[in-house]
Amino acid sequence: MELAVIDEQMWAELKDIMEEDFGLLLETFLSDAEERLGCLGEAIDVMDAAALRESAHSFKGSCGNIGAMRLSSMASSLEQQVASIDWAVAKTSLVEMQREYLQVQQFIQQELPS
Amino acid sequence: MSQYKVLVADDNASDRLILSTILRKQGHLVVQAANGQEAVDLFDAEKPHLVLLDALMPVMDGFEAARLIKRLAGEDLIPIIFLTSLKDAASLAKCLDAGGDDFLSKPYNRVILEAKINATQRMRQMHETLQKQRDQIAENNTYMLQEQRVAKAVFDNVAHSGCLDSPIIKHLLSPLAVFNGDVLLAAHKPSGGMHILLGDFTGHGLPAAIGAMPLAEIFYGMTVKGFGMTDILREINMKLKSILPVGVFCCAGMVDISFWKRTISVWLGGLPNCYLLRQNGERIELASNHLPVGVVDHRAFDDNCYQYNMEPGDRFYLWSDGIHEARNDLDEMYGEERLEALFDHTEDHDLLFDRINDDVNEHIKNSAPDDDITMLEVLMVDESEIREEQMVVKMGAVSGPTDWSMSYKLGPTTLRDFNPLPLLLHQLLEVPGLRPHSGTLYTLLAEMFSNALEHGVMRLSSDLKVDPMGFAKYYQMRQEGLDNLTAGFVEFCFEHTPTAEGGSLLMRVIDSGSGFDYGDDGVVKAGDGNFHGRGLRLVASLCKYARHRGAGNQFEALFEWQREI
Repeated sequence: MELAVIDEQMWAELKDIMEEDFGLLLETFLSDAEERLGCLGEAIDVMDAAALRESAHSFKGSCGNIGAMRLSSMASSLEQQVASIDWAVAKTSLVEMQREYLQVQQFIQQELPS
Repeated sequence: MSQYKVLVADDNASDRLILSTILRKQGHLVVQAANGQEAVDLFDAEKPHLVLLDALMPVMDGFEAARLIKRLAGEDLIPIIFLTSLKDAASLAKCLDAGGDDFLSKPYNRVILEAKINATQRMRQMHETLQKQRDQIAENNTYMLQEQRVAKAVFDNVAHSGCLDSPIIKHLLSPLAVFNGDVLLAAHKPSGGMHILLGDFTGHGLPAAIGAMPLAEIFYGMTVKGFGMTDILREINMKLKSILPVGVFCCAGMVDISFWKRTISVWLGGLPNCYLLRQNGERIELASNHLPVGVVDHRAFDDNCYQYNMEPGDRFYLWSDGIHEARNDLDEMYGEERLEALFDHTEDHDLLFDRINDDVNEHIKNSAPDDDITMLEVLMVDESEIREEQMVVKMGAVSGPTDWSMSYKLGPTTLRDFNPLPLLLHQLLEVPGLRPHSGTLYTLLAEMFSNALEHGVMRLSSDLKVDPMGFAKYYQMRQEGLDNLTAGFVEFCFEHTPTAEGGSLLMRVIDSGSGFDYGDDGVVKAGDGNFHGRGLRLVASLCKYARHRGAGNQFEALFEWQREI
């Protein structure tokens, strides 16, 4: 099934919950995501499986919460790969995630009040 | 909607933000932690009502944090809800196994979150209620135990002021007797001899024990004053009947032993068969022939006793049904047959008491005792063996007036409305030596009084008293005469003198009548004739002598009593 960049229903619900703090949430997500992607890169570079799994798990969760379902699913498969990790494959996965993230970022920045 | 303080621990900032906002919008206070260690520290500092923990966090993960938080919470129940994006059953189960009380899946659903918060808070409040109730129960229990301790101390003082440790008595009474309603009393009589009472109150616990106090008071109080066994039983019965609620009574056996006369009188009400064992092995089984004490009205109380002679070496056994009803783990009762067999097969009577105890305990073995065993054995001995023990009691005995005289004159109003006999008897019983004879004295007073009142003051004739019809007419006339009494008197004169053997009481009753011709000496002899006049003949049979005096309006009798030792 084709996952949306951002799940529309979740987005609406989130907006509803957060109300005036929606913007804060989005900004928090963006800065968190950048950091998280950096951590993932580092973990892969030093081949730290534990750190990779932790970061992937966490990123999966936060993407899920904001409705970025495709990105979340990618993080999930990365997390699952850790058991029998192939670092080269991991590196490729990360690159794909970074590309996906750019789309999410774009979407969000459109929605952010200026 | 209640407001709770919630601790949210998640290493992801946006997750924390979402959750906190949801919670705040629901009206709760939120405290945030970014990892397990912070969560534990904040829990300690903030004391939240609820903790939301992310399962996987850096520094310290959710499971470890949960463990520490539960320990910090101690006895209190602070619900922990795990936050997890894990979906498989095994992982979710792990959250609960690790000490979580529930879990919440990401992405968060507001409705579910609110429902879970309410559910967990209900759990917390119920737990709090349970704690309060438990504490209350513990407090009540401590209070009750304290009360029981005090009750037991009072009971021990009242119940154990007697001579149960006399060398001729062997007894068994559980230290918890105050709580199973059993009581064992023994006291020397000032005139020599001993009273022993075994009581088994219905029920258990303090209600059963409460009746034991007035019973012990009456027993010891009246025994030391020299009252007889039947008077004491009568008094106890009256007291217990008046104070105990319906359905509560006391199975009892009382014994009056005289070492001087070598006799035993036994009153049994409601106890199982008690045994008299002679040295030669002959065994007499005495069955209860009365209702327990505290059941019947004092008018219906029957003080009939068994009377037996006992030689030194003979023994008497009193027990409650605790022995017969002792059950083993097959729920079989010990029963009377086993008891009888034990008696039949024990040659040396000295060993019998301990053997009974051992045998019953052997029977019970591991199963819990229903009823503690209460029993007593008393050995008849020669009077000289017991004298020294009794001397102490004699010297402490209550004393009373020994040489005195009094007169008491009753006018028509008093005669019409008042029965003077109890009051007069009370005066006479101030003499300790007269107390064992209270029944006899009452009879003497009653007969002399009715003679004076009916034949003297009211001039009724005994001629009517030949048949039932006549008796009925007589008493009808008596009542009419009394109702219409306006003149006349009856005077009682008493003179008590000590004698070498004990004392003598001279009684004279004078009436306002004109008297009659009683012939030569006026002495009344017990024994002859017709129905009327038998009252005075009864008086004569109970006294040293009884005679008419003066114009026939005076009657005189001399009653003598002897000290027992």
